[in-house]
Amino acid sequence: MVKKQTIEQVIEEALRLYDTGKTPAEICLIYPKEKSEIMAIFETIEKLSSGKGVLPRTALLTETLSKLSVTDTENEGYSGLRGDQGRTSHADRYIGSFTTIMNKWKVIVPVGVVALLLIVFIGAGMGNRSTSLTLRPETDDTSLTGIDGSLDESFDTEAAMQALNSEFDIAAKGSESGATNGTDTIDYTAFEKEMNAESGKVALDNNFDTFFAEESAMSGSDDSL
Amino acid sequence: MESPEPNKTDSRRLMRLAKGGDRAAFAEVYDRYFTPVYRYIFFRVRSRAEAEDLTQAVFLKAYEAIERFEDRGKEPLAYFFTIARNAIINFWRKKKEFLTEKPEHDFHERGGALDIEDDLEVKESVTIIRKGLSLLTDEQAEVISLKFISELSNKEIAEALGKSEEAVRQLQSRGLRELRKHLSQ
Repeated sequence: MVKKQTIEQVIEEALRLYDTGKTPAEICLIYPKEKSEIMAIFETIEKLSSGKGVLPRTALLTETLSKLSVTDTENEGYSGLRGDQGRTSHADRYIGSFTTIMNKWKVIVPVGVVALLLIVFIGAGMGNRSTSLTLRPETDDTSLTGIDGSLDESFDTEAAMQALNSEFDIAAKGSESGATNGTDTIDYTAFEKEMNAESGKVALDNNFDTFFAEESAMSGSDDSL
Repeated sequence: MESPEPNKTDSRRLMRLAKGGDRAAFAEVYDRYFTPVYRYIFFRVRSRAEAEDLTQAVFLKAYEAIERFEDRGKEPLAYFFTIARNAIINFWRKKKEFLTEKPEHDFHERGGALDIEDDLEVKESVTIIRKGLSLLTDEQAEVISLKFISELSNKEIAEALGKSEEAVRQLQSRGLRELRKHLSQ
């Protein structure tokens, strides 16, 4: 059983036929009973079509550019625009204005981030450097001034004994305060210990010589052993 | 008669080029879609000034978001009309204090005044059309204006609104019958 189409269904079919290229007259021949309704619909469509006369102002693009406050950009030779050739340059400037704005922010933001990171890293580096500067003199000074100090102190009997004891300890243990052989915090192997012991022995010998020389000078006795 | 569809493949190619930074391609897209979008907005707001402002905003937003555009096989015009549709919704939400009914859905002023038009005949037609569209539901008014004023195909309208072509045709039919009642009075 063929279900009778409602008027709404007829209108929908009429619109579909219209989209395929059928004229209103041809459609009315297909649906003669609904002719008046179909023709009324197409008259309404005709009135709506008058809205196609609404066109944007040609100055609209120029106004858009002025709102964006961009400079003129070069026309890159685009000539594919249909109709108004004047709009070609306007459109190109319009696009250029957007490109300019976007490019500015693409530069400003990364540069700002990099600058901020540099400030942070430099500040952190300066802090570390000041810390290391306070530490290093102790190490360097120990290796140099300690020797001088021990040599100077050798003229003082009591200080000489202390220096001898400390140097002997350094040579045996390889402590940081060791000044005689210039070594600091390195762990010694047996070979190194022997070498250091030798250097320490030489220093000890030298200090003994100095010590006994002093003793001899003070007591006037023979200083040889 | 079915309005000739723009070369869909060509439009999609232009959008891909524009996404890659091709200014000439975006200029072509702009030229192709600016007037249809403007007309669509024009009949959904109250004045030419508002239509121009919103149209500018639509293409500005479209250009800024062009890098996020994804070619999913749909007509690129749907991309612009989606932005335009959202712009109109936001526009009326801000102006809802001027609406008397359904502030969230009634996007049309009832017989609002127009700015000065150069063509008086067009002005008269525009007044009639605007008044008629204001009496339709939002979906009907959208489909009618996109189809018969902006000259989109049913397929393009369906993609822009996220509906089937059959649903679009039904909305057209109902909208036209309602308009006929108004215009015949």
